[in-house]
Amino acid sequence: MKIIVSSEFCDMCGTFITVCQRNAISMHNDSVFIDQKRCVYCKHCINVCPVAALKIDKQSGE
Amino acid sequence: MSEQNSFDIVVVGGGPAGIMAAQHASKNGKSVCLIDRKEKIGYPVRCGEGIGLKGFGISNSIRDEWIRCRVNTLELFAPSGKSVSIRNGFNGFVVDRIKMETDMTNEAVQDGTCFIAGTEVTDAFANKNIYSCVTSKGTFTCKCLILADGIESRIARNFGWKTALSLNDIHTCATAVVSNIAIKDDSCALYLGQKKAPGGFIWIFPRSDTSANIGLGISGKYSTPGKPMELLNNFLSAHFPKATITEVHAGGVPMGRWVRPLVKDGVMLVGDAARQMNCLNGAGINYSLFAGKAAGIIAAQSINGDTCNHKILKRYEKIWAREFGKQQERSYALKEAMIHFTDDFMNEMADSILMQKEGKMSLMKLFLKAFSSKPFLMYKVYKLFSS
Repeated sequence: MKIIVSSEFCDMCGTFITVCQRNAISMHNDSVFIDQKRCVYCKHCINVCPVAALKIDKQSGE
Repeated sequence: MSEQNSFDIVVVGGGPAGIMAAQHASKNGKSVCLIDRKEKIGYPVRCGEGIGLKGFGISNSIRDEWIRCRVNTLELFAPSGKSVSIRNGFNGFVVDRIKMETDMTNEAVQDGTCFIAGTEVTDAFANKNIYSCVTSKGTFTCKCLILADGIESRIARNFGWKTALSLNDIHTCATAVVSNIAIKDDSCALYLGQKKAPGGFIWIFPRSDTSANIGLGISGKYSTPGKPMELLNNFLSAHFPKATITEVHAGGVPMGRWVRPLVKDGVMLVGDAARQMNCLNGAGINYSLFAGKAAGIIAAQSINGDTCNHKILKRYEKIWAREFGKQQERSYALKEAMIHFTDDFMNEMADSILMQKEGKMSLMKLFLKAFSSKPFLMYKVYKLFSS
């Protein structure tokens, strides 16, 4: 399981980073990185995204 | 370390707060570097661009070329669709933020600021009172670091601040630039309603009598994936079905109390990064201009030769608290109270106000009216207003 960002929809507004209590998300050069080791799947980032650019990928082996 | 990358003050983030800080620190004779992630100043605009006249005047003087519209009326729409018109409820401007920020940045550069655009600070750390900002264009060092990196406020986390916002203290927003509509260019409008915009509101700020910045913010705790954009689209298709939508953006607005402390050793927080805004309506430009100017001047005063006096930096927090701190506490209390307003209650309130005689209805009177029938909310904010 991991959280993935669809770059097609993402407007790079940073709202999802702001609500991450675990400091697990960063954005560099128009790319988003989510530290899956820090992430606790609270889904705050997914829920506050104004354009629904984030989702949980349950297929991922992590 | 190359001499060229060493400054008295480094400002991270080139929004209104960062530009003001850089300009005023430069004006006061210090070497200043302003680093901004964006290539193009001010773009994209994730903002309604509304600015109150009084608050703006404290920090800067407005120029005619920055003004899109002069606004003197606020129309508040209850969930039922009935509207209450508040004259002088918003005495201010809708500005062209890109033009304003470009002009301000150019002036900062004229005053001596070294402006580095399109460059992200990827890491920042302290070593014996020297602060380093790591970027793709090298490492920039300084004696005083001013963080104006916007709502994310990520770099502050490197220095021990916990700037992550709770879902209750953020509005998640969608904004659009809308044209081919017919509106009043001297009036802005807010639409309230837990269905239309749960825990928040929809705003219309005119750009002209045929175009506007229309946006919506909802409380983070009521947000589900994509909800702001979906609700904005619903609103636009219901109210402006024939409009042309030229630009759409997502965004977040901090709605929490200002970060405490605002200063740690040689690091200062300003603007959205410090959560310096009005928690009731999310307006932040005036707060940012004020905080940026104060931080820039104080930072310049604190530096003497090779050293930065951290005690002097703390004055910035006092100045902020005195000028806007209490006002922001009040706006936070009102925001907390308003989240309890049901659509029925807002409709009743609008009806009772509309039954009153035509005349001046100030925002304060409106709130007193609202609270008079909800004594527990009244009590909650009473202490703040009475202390």
